[in-house]
Amino acid sequence: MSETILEVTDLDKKYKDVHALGGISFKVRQGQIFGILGPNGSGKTTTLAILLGILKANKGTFSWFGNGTDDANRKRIGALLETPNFYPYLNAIDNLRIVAKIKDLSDPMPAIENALAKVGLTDRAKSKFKSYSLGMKQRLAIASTLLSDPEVLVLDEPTNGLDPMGIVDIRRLILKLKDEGKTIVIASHILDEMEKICTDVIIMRKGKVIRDGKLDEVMQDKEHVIIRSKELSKIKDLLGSHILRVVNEQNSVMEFTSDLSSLEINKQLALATIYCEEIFVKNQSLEQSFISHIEA
Amino acid sequence: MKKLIQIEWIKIKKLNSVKIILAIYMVLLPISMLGLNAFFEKINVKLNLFPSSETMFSFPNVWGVVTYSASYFNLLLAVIVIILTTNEFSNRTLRQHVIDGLTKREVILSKFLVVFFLSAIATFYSLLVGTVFGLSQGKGLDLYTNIHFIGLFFIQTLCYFGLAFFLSILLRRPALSIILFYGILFLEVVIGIFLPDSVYAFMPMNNTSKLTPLPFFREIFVDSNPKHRHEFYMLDLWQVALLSLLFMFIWYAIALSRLNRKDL
Repeated sequence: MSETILEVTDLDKKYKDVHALGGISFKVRQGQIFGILGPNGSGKTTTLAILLGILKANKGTFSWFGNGTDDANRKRIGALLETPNFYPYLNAIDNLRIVAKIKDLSDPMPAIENALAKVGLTDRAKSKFKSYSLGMKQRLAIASTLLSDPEVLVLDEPTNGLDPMGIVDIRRLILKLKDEGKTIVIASHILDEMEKICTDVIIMRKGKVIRDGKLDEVMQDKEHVIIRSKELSKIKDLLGSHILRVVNEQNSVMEFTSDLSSLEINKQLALATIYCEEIFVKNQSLEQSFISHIEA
Repeated sequence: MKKLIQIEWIKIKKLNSVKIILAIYMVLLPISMLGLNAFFEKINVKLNLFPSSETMFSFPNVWGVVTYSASYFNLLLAVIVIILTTNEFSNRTLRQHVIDGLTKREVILSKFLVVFFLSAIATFYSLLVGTVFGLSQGKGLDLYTNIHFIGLFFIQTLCYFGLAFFLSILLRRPALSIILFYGILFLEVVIGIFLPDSVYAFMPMNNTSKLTPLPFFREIFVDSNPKHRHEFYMLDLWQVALLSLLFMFIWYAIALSRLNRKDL
C-alpha cells in the first residue's frame, strides 16, 4: 500500500451558530487524485482551510506527510483555496516571485516561466493582475501552486471561471501531474470533471463524510435500474421502500435507484408474476451517484 | 529575515500610494519647519529663547525643531503602515502567504521589518533635513549637542507605527484603522483633561509624543511656572523612551496572539 500523505481524524469545526464539520476522518495516499464532493455548505472548503492552516479546528487532528501540523509542511504543498489571491497592482511575475520566496526557491525565474507556460499565461506575464479576466486569474493561481514542484496539490474549485478549453487544459494538467506521481486533493462541484480525473472520493453532507472509497465503488453503490413494463404501478407497490429514487418515469418506462440488485428485483417481479418487457442496469454517472447519496 | 525583506520590497516598490505619501512627507517637513521658525522668531522677541545671533535652525536648536515637526508627519506615515497591512486582508494575500508556507510569526516579523525601515527612512530624512538647515545657517558646527532627539524620534516612529500596525491587524479595514488611529490620539487628549497627571503620563500616545517635545517647551511653559514642574516632568526622558518601547512590544505581542487565535 502506498504511503499516507494526509491523515485526518475526527476533525470538528464550529462557527458561532453553525456546526461546519462534525468529526470527519479520511486518508489520502500518495498518487491519488482525491476528490472531495458535496453540496454548498457541506464543509469542503472549511476542511481544506483547516488542513492549510488558516482555520483552527475545534477538535480532531490531521497530519501531512506523517509530520503532524508543522508549518513547514505547507511549503511542500501547492494550494489554491476558493479565490486566486494576489496583489492587484503587481504583474504575474512579481506575484509569483513572492510565492517563490515563501517557498524558498533559490532560482525562481525558470520555475516562474515554466509555471506560466503550463497554464498559458506567458504572453500576459507582465500584465498587472487587476487587468486579468476571471479565467486568467484562476490560471495564475494554478501556476502558483505548481511553482515549487510540490509533492501535493490542494485545489478548491480549480476550474472556476475557466472556459471549456481551459477546463480541458486543467484536466490534462492534473492527469499529467498524477502520472508524475503527485498527489492531488481536489474539491469541486463539477462532477463530470471529477468523474474524469478522481481515483478516490469522499462525499460530504452537512459537515459529515457520508461515503468514501474508490471512485468506481462509489459510482456503483446503488444500481440504476430501468424497467419497461405496462404494470409500473404494481412494480412500485411491490418494491415499495426499496425504490430509493425515481429518476425518470414516462409512459411505461421507469428509471430508478434501488438498494436491491437488478437480479433481486427481477426475482421478486417473477415471483409476483409481474412481467417486464425489458429490465436492465444503466451505468451510473458520478453525478447520479452523488445525488443518490445526498438525497438518501 | 532577508527573505522577508525581499518579499516586502517586491510588494512596496510598485505601490503608488506609498510613493505619494512619502513624497508629501518629504515636501511638507521642510515647509513645516519654515512655518515653525516664523512662529518662533515672533515669540523670541518677547521670550528671548535664543540669542538674536541664532535662529531656530542653528545647531543645536535645529534637532528639536526638525524632530518636533517630523513627529506630526509620523501620523501621515502611519497611513502607509495601515495601507500595507490592511491590503493583506483585502487582497486576502496574508491568508495566501500562510497557505503557501509562511508562519504567522513570520507575517508579524515581515511587517515589523517594514515598520523598522520606514522609521529608519523617516529618521534619516529628518537627520538630513536638520543637517542641511543647520549648515545653511553657517553659525557653528556643533552637530552633536541635542542630536539624541533624532534617536528618540526613531523610537517614537517605531511606537506610532506599531500602534498603526496593531489596529490594522485588529480591524482589518483601512478606513476604520485610520479613523481609530487618529481617534485614539484625540481621545487621549480629551481623557487627559479629566485624568490626574500621574495617570495621563502613562497613556501610550501621550507618553510617546513626549519623546519629541516642542522646542523650548521647558523655557516657555515650565520655567515660567516652576511649581508645576513635576506635572510636566513625571518621567525622565529615558523612562519615556523605555515605556514607548514597552508599548510597542505590547502592540506586536497582541497582534501575534490575535493572528494565532483567530481564523484568517
